[in-house]
Amino acid sequence: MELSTFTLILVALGGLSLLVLRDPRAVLVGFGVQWFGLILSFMPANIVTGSNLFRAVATEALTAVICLAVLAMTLRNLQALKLSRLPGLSDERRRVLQRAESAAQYAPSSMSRERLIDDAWLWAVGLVAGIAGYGLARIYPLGAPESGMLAFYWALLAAAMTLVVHGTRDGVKMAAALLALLNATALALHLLSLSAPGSMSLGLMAIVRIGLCVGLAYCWMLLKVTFSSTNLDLGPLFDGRDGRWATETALAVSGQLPTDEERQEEAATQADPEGGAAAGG
Amino acid sequence: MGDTRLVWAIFAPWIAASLAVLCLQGAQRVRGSVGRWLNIAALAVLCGGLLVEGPLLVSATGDAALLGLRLVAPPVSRVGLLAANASLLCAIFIVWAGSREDSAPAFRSSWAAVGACLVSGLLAASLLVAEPLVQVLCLFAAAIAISGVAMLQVPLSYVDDDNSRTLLALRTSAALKYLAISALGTGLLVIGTLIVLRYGLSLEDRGLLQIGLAVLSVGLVMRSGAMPFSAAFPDMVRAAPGVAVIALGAGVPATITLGLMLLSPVDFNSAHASSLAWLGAVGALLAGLRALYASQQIRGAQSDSRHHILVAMSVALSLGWALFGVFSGSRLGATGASLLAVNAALAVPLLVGSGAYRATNMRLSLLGTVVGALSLLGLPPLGGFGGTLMVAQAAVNLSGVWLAALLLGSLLVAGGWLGWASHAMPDAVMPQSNLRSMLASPIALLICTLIVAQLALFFLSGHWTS
Repeated sequence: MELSTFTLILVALGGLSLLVLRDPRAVLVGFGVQWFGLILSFMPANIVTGSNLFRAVATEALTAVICLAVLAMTLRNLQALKLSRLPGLSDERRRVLQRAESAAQYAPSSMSRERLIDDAWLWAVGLVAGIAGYGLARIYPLGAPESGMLAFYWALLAAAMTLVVHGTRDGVKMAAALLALLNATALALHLLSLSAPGSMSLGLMAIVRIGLCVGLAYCWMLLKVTFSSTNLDLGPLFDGRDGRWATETALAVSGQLPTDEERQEEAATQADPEGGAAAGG
Repeated sequence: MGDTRLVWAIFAPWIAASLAVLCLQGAQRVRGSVGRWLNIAALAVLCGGLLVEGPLLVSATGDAALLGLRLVAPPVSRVGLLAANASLLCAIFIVWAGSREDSAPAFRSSWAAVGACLVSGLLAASLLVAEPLVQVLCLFAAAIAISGVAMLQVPLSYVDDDNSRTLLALRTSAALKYLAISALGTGLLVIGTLIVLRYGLSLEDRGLLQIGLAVLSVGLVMRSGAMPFSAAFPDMVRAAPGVAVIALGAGVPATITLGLMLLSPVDFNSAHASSLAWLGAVGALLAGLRALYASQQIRGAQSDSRHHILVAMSVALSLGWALFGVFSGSRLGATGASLLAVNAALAVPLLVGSGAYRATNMRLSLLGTVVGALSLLGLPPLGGFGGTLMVAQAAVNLSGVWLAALLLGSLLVAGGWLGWASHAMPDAVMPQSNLRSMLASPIALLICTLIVAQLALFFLSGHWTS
């Protein structure tokens, strides 16, 4: 298998995982795979050779390691954090958070009809984006190697589609998509520049991505701790902006998941239907 | 030698900011006279940075080959100097306001000063370093700093009060939106710049050049927060005025100046110019109509909203004039547009800051609003006059009709401000304050420093015209 083919497979798989997968850790792994593919895409670029190639690959690899480490460590620590155990909470608020955390553990079945339709829709969007990227690379190669441009368009479109579909809902996917967008831009810098990018361009490109990564990781912490978003989704933030706070969330959660007392009552009713009916009457 | 001076000039605000933060953090922990002296030390460090930065930049930018700036090389170097210093002035104001116990809570955070200093340093770097891609990336780094400042003002702990949490959610979402739009705009700007640089000098493939220009233009519109990408700014103004001052006062003019420098390699002849320059005139006219409508429709309790709309429309008017200057295809128009961008950097913080102090000190707030509005309208002897005059001269060379449209836009915005003043004055609650307390107010410092800077800009623009 040629290097360019292997590279394109990595970029395609990574982009698809950004769009389709739901688990935050899997999304980050897919994002890392895509970044690795983009780093390998520098190799066929004609302009990056010799010491410039080493400098470009080393800078990009270092940036990738730092960014992925920051995101992965933040995600790991936040997933281990239990909101209901935070200090300074009122008893009522603590109970609401305990229920929300219990509800988050009961994810809907992956074989439900709604879930299958959602997944099919995302796969279709991914397929269309892939075909569009292939077409754009053939129509507008912009004077760069075709495999490099294909990787660029696939990364760009995957990031754009992820931002459109998940950008206002999922904090993890939004962060990964924004970084993927800048990664595609970094690849364009190597593919479309008339000469090899200078140290200042490379350094700034790395610094802004690390800065963005740190900012977004801090935003995750705000989502979890300040706005009580159990799954790092952006819903509580935007609901809170409109003044919709805990009461409605508590009702929604209690509607979805019965409390321990209700479960015990239900179990008792099932075990002794007549006694339950008599007690009810 | 020039390189060393330039590097020091660019990093001087950052060093000053770091020292100032150390002093301010110390001042927050220590009460009494020691804390007060630490506040004064922070202010002195920032003023020192301002004093050192100016001569360093002037001596470093003496070598035109080092800069490699293109169409408007000599004015742009001075524009960069002025814009960087204007941002540093904002930082000084924010630190001063934060050090006072009776200041508005929005200006208390010393982190806003760090953001302002970072922006000023990045602005100086982006305007002085020749490579367009470096300018774009410096501006994005500034956007990250602005968003970071807004997010750092949100505490990393659970807040029980629902009203406070709503405000924090508003601030966080505004910062997040600003960050996302900036990242998207930066991506488009870099890609557009690469295409324009690749195909700008050869006219064999005009289609690709047009695609590059289109991508670049959309990127500039996104980064400058123009419609329809202006979602983050209203939230910023509502939830974090200090951050909005930094974003509007430093980021937007820098983007305009960056656009000037990016578009300058493309040879706009007069035929193309006359077909594009009308965009600026029509934009100015629409801004004027919107301002006049807003001043008549929104009354009473919504006076703050009307103030925000008028500020936004005044900035849009200034952008219309600047756009006309860019597309006029003349050196005079491009220089005038640069001057208008710097003027916006000075006037917008004054207008937003004045609006924030309306409840605290009505008289000084009105004075700041009048100075800022007159400057954005391009009236003498304030800083906007020079740029407006240059663009007007460029417009006369194209067609008197477009000059009439631009002036009509200015007239309508002026009418909007007059309408606002007539409604705002009778409703105003004039607090009983003596002259001493008025002069000790942070807004007085802002007005004084910015009036001096406006006058300097006015006289310097006369020098450049000659």
